[in-house]
Amino acid sequence: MKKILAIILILAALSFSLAACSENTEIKSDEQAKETVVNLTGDLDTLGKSLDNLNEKLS
Amino acid sequence: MKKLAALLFIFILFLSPFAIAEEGTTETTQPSPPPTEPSPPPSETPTTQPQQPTEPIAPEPSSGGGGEGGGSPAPPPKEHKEDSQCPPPPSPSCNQDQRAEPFYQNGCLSGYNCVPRDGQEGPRDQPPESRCPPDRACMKGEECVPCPGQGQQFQNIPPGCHVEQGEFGEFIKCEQDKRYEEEKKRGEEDCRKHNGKFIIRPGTTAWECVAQGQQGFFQQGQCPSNEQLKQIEDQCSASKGKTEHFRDRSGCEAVSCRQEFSQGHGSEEEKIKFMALGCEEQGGQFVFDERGPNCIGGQQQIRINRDLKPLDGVELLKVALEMESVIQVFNEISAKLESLENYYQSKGDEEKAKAFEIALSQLDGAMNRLDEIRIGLAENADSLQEEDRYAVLGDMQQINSIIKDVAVTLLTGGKSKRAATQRFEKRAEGGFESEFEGPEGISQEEGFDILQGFQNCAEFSEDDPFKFSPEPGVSVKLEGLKDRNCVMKVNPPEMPGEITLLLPPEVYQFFDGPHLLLRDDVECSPDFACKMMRQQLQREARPPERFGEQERQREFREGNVQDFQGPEFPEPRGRFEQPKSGELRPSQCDGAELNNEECAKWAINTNTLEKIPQCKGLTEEQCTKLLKNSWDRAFENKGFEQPQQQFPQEFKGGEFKQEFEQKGYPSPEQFKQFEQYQSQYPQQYNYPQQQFPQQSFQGSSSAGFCGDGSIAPSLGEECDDRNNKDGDGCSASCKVEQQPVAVANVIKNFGDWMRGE
Repeated sequence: MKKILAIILILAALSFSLAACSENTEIKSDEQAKETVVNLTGDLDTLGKSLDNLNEKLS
Repeated sequence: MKKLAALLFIFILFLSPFAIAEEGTTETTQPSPPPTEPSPPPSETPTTQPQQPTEPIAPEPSSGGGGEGGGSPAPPPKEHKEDSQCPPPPSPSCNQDQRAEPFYQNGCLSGYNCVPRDGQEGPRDQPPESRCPPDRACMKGEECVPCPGQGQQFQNIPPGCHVEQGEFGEFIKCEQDKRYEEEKKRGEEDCRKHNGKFIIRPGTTAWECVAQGQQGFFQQGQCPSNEQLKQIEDQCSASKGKTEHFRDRSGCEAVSCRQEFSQGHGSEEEKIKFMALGCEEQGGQFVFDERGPNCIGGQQQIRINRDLKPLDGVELLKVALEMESVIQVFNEISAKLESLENYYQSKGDEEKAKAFEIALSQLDGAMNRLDEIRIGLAENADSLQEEDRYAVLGDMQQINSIIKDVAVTLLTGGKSKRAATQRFEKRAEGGFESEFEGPEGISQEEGFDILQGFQNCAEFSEDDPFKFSPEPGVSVKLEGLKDRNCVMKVNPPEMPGEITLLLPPEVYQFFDGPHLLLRDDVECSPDFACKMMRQQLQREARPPERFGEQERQREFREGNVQDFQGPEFPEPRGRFEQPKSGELRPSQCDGAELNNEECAKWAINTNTLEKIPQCKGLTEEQCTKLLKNSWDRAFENKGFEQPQQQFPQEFKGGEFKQEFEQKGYPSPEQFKQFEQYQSQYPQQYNYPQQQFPQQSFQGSSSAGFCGDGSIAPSLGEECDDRNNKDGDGCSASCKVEQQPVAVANVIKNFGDWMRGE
C-alpha cells in the first residue's frame, strides 16, 4: 500500500510541475491574445529599461 | 478510513494541476523583472521617449493620456489644486443603476466615471477600491491602462491628424505639413553643406545634423575628420543650436548640432503634430498612452559617452551576471511570442502569425547577441580593451532599438512600413540600381543605407525586395525572412545563377559589413559559388569576429565546460587579442598547477599531434620538447614563475576550487569571498589605466621604467615585457595579469546553472 501511495504521490507531483511549467504557454482566445500583447509591450518596456541600466553601468 | 482519506487527498492533488492549468489559459502573468535597480534611461536612448528633453507636453485632461503618474483617478490627488486654478468640470450623466465618481487629472477635477451602485458587480479585474477613467478601465499593477481592444478617447488630436485603429492599439497619423516639410528641407540642405547627416530624433520636435565618417560596403568605416567636426560645431554656434559630443559605435569622435523646429516653440497641438510626423518618418509609431504623447520605436542613433569610466574585472563580471537575468526575461517574452504565433497559425491567420514570427526573429537576434556579449565580457573581464567597450555599448544600444521595433511590430500587427523601407522603395522606383553603380562605388550615405537595409530585412519580401549594387556588375537582393533568417541573393557578374545566403537574426540585425557573411552560421548555396564568394570576401573584407561571438561559438562547439575537458590552445581572438603561437599554455595547466613539461605531456596525451598547431609533422618527443622550451622562454621573457601562483591557497587548491569543480558554479557566499579577495589584492584586478601614469614614470632613471624590459621591484614592477599593453600576461603597469579563465568560468557556469542547463 505504501509503495502505491508513494507512486501516486510522485505522479501527482510530476503532473503538478508539468502543469506549472506549461501554464500560460497556450493561448485559446482572441481576447487572451490581445491581453498577452498588451502585457508584452509592458514587458518590452521593462526590458528596455534594464538594458539602459546595463548600458549606463558599462559607459 | 485513513486509507479513504489518503486516497481522497491524492485525488484532490491530481485535480489541482488541471485547475491551475485551466486558470493559466485565461490569465497571463508578467515575467519577473530582472534584478537590476531601475534607473531612468539616458537621454539619448530613452526606451519609449516618455519624457521629452525640453518642456514635457502634458495632454489635455480629455486626451486620455495620463502624463506623469497619470493613472488611478480616485482618491483625489494630494496636490489637488484650488478650484480657481482649474477649468469648470463637466456635469455627470449616469444611468439610474450607476453612480458618478469623480476622477482627477493634473490636480483638477476632470470628469466623472459612471460606476455600478454598491451591491452591484463592478468591471472585471477592477478592484472595488480603485476606479479608473473609462478610457483606461483596466488595472495593470497600480496603473489604469486601456483594456485590450478598448479605444482611447483621443480628444485633442491636432488638426490634420487622425486616430488609426490597429489590431492591438490606436495610433495618431498626421498628414504631411507644408511648414514641416519646408523647414526640414532647409535643415537638410544646410546640414549637407557642412558634410553632416540630417536626422530627426524620434519623439521630439528637434532635428540634428551629425558629423559622420565614411562607410563603404567592403571598406571599414572611417571616422569623421577634425575639419568636419569643426564645421558642424561652427555652424551650430552660428545657428544657436545645441552641440553634443559623443562617440559612435566604432569609437570615432562625433559631434551633432541639435535644432528645434520653429513649431517646437508653438502650441501644444503643433508640437504634437511635429512629434508625430518626426516619429513616423524615423519608423516609429506615435501614440497617446498612459504616459501621454509617445513615440514607440523609431531609428535611434548610437551614441556613446566620450569618456568611459574605469571599470574593473569585478564590475564587468557583475554586469555579465545581470545580463544573464535580462536574457531570462528575453526567454520569457520569446515564449509568449511563440504562443501568439502558434495561436494565429492554428486559427489560419497567416498575416498575424507572420507578424509574430518577425517579432520572434528580431528578439532572437537581440538575445543571441546579448548572450555573445555576456560571454565575451566574462571571458575578457580582466583584459577588456576600450574598443571592445565601444563595440559592446554600440551593440547594447542596437539591442534596445530592436526591442522598440518589436513593440512596434506587436502593436501594428506587422502592418507598419518603416520610413527606411519606404525611402528604399522610392529610390528603387527612380532607378535605384543605376544610382548605386558608378566608377567610385557607392556613396557615403548609401553605404549607411545599405547596412540599415540589412537591419530592416524583415520588412522586405521576394516580391518587394531591397536591391543594391555594392560594386559594378554585382547585384544583391534582400528578400525578407524565411524561418526567421534573412534571405540574401547575390548575382555575381558572368554567373548564370545566383547565390542564396541565409543570415541568422544575430547577423542581419547587427550587420556592419560583408565580413559577417563569412561566419559559420550563415548558410550558403550552391557550394562552388559560395566557395568562390568567400575567397573573394576574405581578400576584401575584414575578419568576421565580433566581440564575444568567438567565445560563444567555442562554447557551443566544445561544450560549456570545455576548459576541463581537453587542452585548449589559445587562439587568436579576432581584432582584440592575437596571442603568438606557443606563447601561452592551455589554461587547464595553470588550473592543475602543471609545470611546462607536465603540461606538454598532458596536452599530447589528451589530444592528437595534428590538433596542436606547433607540432605538425613532429614526433611526440619533439613536440614535448618544443612546447616545453617555447613556454619556458615565454615565461622567462615575461619575468614570472610558472605555474602562476596568484590565487591564495584557499582559492587555488582549496575549498573554492574543489566545490567549483564539483558543482560547476559558486555559491553566493563564495562569490562574495572571491570579491573580497579581489579587493584585498587590488593590484591584480584594478583597471590598469588608473595606475599606469604614476607607476611607469616615477622613480630615478637608474631604476628604469615600466616597459624597459627589466623588472624593477623598487617601482612595484612584477614583470616587464618591454611594452605597455594589457592582456598579454604583463599589464600596462607591469603587474602580472591573472588568467581570466577561472573568473570566466564562474560567470559561464553560474549562467548555465540559472538556466538549468
